[in-house]
Amino acid sequence: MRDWIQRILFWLSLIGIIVSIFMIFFYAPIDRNLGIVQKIFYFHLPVAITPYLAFFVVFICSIFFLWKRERRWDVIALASAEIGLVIDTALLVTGTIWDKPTWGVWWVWEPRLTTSLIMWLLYAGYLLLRRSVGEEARRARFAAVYGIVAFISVPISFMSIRWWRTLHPLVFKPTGIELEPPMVFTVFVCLIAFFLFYLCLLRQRIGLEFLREGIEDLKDRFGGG
Amino acid sequence: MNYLRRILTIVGKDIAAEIRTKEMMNSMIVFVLLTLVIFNFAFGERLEGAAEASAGILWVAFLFAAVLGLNRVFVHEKDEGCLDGLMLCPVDRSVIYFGKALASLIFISVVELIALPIFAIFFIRTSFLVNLWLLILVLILSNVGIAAVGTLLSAISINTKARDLMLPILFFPVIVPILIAAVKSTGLIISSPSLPGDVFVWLRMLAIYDIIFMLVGFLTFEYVLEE
Amino acid sequence: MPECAPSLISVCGLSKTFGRRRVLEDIDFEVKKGEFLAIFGPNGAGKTTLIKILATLILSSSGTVCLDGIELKKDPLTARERIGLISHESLLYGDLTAHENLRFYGRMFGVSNLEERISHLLEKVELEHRKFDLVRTFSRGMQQRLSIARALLHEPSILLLDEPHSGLDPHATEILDGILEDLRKDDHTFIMATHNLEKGLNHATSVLILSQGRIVFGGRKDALDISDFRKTYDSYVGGHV
Repeated sequence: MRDWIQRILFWLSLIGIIVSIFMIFFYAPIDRNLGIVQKIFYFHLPVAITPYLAFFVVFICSIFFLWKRERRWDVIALASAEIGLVIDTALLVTGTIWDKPTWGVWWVWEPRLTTSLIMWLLYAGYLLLRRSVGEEARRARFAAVYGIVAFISVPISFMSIRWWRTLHPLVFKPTGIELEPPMVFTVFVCLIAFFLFYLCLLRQRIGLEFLREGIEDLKDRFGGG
Repeated sequence: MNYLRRILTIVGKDIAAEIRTKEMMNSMIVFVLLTLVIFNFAFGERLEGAAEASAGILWVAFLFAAVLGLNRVFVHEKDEGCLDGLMLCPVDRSVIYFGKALASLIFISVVELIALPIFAIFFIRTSFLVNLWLLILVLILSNVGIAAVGTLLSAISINTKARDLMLPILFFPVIVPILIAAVKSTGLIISSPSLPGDVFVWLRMLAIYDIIFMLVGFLTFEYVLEE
Repeated sequence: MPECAPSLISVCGLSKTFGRRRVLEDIDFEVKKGEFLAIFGPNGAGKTTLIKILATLILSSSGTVCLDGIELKKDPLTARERIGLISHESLLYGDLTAHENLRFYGRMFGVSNLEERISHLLEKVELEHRKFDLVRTFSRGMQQRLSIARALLHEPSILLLDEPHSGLDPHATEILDGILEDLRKDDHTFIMATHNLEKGLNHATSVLILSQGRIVFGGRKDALDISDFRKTYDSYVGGHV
């Protein structure tokens, strides 16, 4: 077993997140305009980016699965889709919490948040599809095709939603927050920490899936129900 | 040339079968009408003269009817193993995809063209005939995207345990850009006799969507069919 | 990649897995022109999967299949022109007439002088009087007869048969057997999957027994002691039926 990689990933992401929290509160200065609230940005940004990363991994693995027909690509795609969906859920929740003080309502149909919601629906559909196909090889093929279709539709949805809601200004305009160098550095560390955390979860989930399959194999062999 | 001829052979077969049974078209048309009537009860007078809201209703009705039809695209191919029969033919798998997609495009478009005047009578108070050709262009561009995505996903959903339930779940989140662009452009077209430039932004959007998803369907359809 | 053997059909090292499930393992056999291979085996042995791979409906996981010098995976389109499949499903559209069904498939195969071919085949399967009736009004046996006509439309040299006798009435069985005999004389090559020992042995020139995805017995029929073969077959089928 290559368990030590998993351990290293676990400790690296744990240390990374502790360091990030420390840097957010003790290293990065308080934003002059927004005040202490701006601190949420350091976690919000990685949380907002990771689903895209996770679903991009689903997309790439789907292509590789259809091309190579090797089962591991399907397992990685499944793992990444589940993690992406969980983090996307966190994003939607923090997004609504952020909306309340900013806009005075829980939900605005702002392009990025709306796209995250559409993405949530797409990948919830992806996981439902997987549950609805009993036969393993077929499940992998269908999921791969949908993994490709879904990911390609995301940028088009984003563009159309942005044109649809041009009335609402973006929350974080490129110039919205003046990031001082310590802030940029903190964001960078947070991104790295979150990326490691994602990898750690991904590996864990992949390992779990192989274990589950191992059990299925044993069941088949010994005829257990 | 042969490629195109074989596609049209499949379309011809589907149309012949549909003309005989009419099961898909009849239910789609009745369904569109029902949806329009139900929306009228749900919103009442608030719709009078609200072009964009009524455009939204029109497209919700069209999309639901499309899903109803798309669910049936592969049903007859599944009885008696006809899909195997198609796959035995010496044609590329994409011929089957384009044949089925073109047939659904035709069915959906016919239903919409029948429903459109009725929608106009129900909801439109101003004349929208001025830009009718543009409205038809919107319909066609949207339907191409709907058929391209819908045919691919229908081939998937027919082979799942949930069957009819699966298609809307897979289909609607992917079709969001079409819905937005179609509603916006239809709203603009029926609300003013002059031609607002924004319409063309949305038309371009629809065209890009169509091209991308026809390509995706062309490339991935064989993986849906082949074990 | 091994070269294609001179036999008309050669299958080397063929395997198929569905996910974790192995359905076919290391299948090797050859069929010469004009031969009739009967594949026996209990349900779930992989007979249908094997036939479907040969018909290009399913992709093999590994190994090669050559039909008439064409490697199946490299040029499936040309291979399909030489294959006719008769399965226990009719592969016909219930909402179309017999004639429309044949015309549709004929056009898909690009058959020349299609109308002549259709009337010739309808005569052969004794269905010309029902030409313009909807297939859904046909009895099982009639559908199966029409299905034979469908499979022969493009004059394939190789016929794949998957349980063709299942669900047939005696008359349809008679017609099917008659047609098979005629085609035998025409130097067609056959592979038939069946669990009907009588029917299989009746036509076969060589036999195979498939069990749990492997070939467990193979040989020429004329070198076969039929009663021994029955015992071998029963020993594999016994536990499964």
